[in-house]
Amino acid sequence: MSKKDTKRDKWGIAHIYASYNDSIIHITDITGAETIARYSGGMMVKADRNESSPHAAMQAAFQAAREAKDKGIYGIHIRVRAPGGHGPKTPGPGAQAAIRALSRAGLRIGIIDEVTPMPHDGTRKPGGRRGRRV
Amino acid sequence: MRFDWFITIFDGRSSQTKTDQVQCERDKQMSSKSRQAAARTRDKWREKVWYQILAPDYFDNKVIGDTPASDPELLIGRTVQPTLYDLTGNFDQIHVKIRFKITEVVGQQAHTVFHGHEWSSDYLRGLVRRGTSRIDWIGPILTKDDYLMRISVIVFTTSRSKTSQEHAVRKEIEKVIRAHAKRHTFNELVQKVILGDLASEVFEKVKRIVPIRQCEIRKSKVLKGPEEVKARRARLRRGTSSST
Repeated sequence: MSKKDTKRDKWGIAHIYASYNDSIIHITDITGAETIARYSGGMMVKADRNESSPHAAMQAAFQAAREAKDKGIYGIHIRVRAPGGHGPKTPGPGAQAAIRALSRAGLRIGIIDEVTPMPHDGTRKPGGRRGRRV
Repeated sequence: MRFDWFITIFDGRSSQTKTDQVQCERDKQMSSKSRQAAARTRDKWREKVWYQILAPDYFDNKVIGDTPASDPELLIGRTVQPTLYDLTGNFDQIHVKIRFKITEVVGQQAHTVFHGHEWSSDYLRGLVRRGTSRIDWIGPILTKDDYLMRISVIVFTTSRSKTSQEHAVRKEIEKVIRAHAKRHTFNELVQKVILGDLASEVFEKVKRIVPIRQCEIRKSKVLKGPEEVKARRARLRRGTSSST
């Protein structure tokens, strides 16, 4: 992880967005401005209800890792996030699987960070006072 | 796939493997498709040149990393967020994330300026404890060479503090920080903030008011550079002269 001995090796950032409806794995350079690979759970499975499953996240992570390695990325820092805001603040089921898959795919893992956007008192959650009535 | 639901309800296990097989087949198709897509976009990727990002002078111009771009103009304004550990090699400082902004590109190297720092959220959460107080002070400061910064100081006491003590602590913090900001230029102040000199001076003053466990600068942010501050000041002056 130290930058001294791996000076010529390129690092990137894997932004993992894991909600209960999908998980998106987006690998960028360290500034976050240039996309290197982007895959989502929905690209891997057929049924809508499986988009957020750990299996789909794993497949997506493997694909993303392969593309990143093709482009010469040696290691990645990880930024995990949940929907946040007035939505759920804990990452969905795909987050763990995706991180595991990225490290299994042979990428070095640097710092793992949680970057869920937390409101310092924001807008009201939808559904009204009596909750969502289905 | 429409009957998936019923199958899962009746025997979860076997249907799971069945859907997995289907998914695997699909994955094979997907990968070939993505390879074609990759071949199409490969050219665009090849054109991009990797630029080295260098830390500012007061961090010994250390290489932070590389970033690709098709045009050096596009590099300006990008931010990098290494930890202080990456720059100093001191493992105790791994929780400090620093933000650098690229301002100019010389050849293959991009030069940066300090753009703020922040603690990682889990470190902060670990420090907050029950039965003790956490006193925050957040305020904008103006340095000697007209940089507008926002600094967040955090103080942890050893026992629960009274509100009057909290008020006194905030007043004292503001006094110390403002005095320092007036005396130092931006580059000096950044070093003091990052390496903890400013925090230790605040600590010395605050510990006379209330027994404290820790006092640190949790977060900082550069709001405006000298040009913007000067322009704003000129505008304000004009506004007041026209109204009076």
